[in-house]
Amino acid sequence: MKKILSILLVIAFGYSCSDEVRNTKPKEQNPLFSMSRAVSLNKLDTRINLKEIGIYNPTKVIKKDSLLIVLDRDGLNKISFYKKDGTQIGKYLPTGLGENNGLYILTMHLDEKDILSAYDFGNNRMVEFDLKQLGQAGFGPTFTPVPTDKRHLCAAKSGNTIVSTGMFDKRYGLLENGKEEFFLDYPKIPSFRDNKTTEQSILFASNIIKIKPDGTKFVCANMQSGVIDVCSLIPCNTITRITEQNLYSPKATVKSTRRKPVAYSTDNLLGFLDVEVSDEYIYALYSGRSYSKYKDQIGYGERIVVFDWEGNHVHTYLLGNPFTSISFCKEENAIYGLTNHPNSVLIKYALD
Amino acid sequence: MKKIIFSILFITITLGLTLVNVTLRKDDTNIDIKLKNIEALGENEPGGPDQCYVIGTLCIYYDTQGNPIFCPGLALDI
Repeated sequence: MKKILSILLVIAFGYSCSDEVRNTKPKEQNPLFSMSRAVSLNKLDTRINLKEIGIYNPTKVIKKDSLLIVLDRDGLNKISFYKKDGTQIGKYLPTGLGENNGLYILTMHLDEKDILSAYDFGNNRMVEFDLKQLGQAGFGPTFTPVPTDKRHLCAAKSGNTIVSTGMFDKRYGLLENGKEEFFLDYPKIPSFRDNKTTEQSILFASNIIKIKPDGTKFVCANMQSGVIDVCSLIPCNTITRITEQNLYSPKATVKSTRRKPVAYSTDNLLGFLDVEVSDEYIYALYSGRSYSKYKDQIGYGERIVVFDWEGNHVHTYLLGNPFTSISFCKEENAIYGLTNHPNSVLIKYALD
Repeated sequence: MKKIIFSILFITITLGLTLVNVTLRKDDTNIDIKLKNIEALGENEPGGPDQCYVIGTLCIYYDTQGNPIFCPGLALDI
């Protein structure tokens, strides 16, 4: 009898202390973890050994015809342009605060009009390069400052529209012709529902935002969880949500009293590392790695989850190599993946 | 009789533990106060970017004056 009682007590204790279910979808239906609609990308096409041409540990590389556009988050110059053989065409945004400098840039985007854009959250401004003017005198960055009354942390620009996330009471900021408005609530996650918006904005601070080429929609993928949001920018001056998918909730300690109010668990699975978009699809590179298991290799992912612009899971590309960032090339209908381990290599996968 | 006593005991313990668990999750004020005390003791420990592990995300923490600091990195609970 005592034995039975002990077992019952252990079960009761375990039950009462169990954590809540974090994944909103069953694993077999969850595109972040399941093999449903999975396609192995084996059409290995080209490998560009970046180390051999003098490019070391870049953050993101976009290939445009015979041009390599390199973002180096930790480099002396944040954005550089190279020919495919490694000849440097120009280097811009030397590290620092101030005119013509760059400080903290998480990602960059090349749109169909050949405008390269990136958001610098250290200098609170969008940086743009018009690649049509590359090689001409006066080629260089143009800057669009964002208002500093509220802190914008991640942003994307299309035409005169800037969509951002940051330390806001709402999920998104919309800047249009100098007018700033805020829209939508933070993702509703039971374990964080009682937190203030400041803490929620910190919890969901790291995002990749990409605007659809026609400027009508955008996607926001969270880097520390499996939350991905597709929103509409139509009609003008508003943001409406098309779909919000919580495929993996962040595992974190959130306490306003701490100096570090949000601290992610070492077991938390890192989320979307990079996102690329086309007219039809959203290509989201997913990590799914934990710090406890992967340490400094956490920032790599081996699957690209493809969604349509309604947020439906279309298929998942399983990669032969783990990538830290990706870029989509429309002309070649290919994905270029970047790895820096053990060496910096850009690998092309042709899509069907 | 024994069975009834054990059953009541089991149900009481289960409910008690569940209640404690739910209370701790929903209202962590007491824990916060204790943490505040512990953090006050560790005020002189080095903080800052050391708390942000380098990967391509964004780390936010507060300096000793309570100003938010933003830098690249991952705020980990280590």
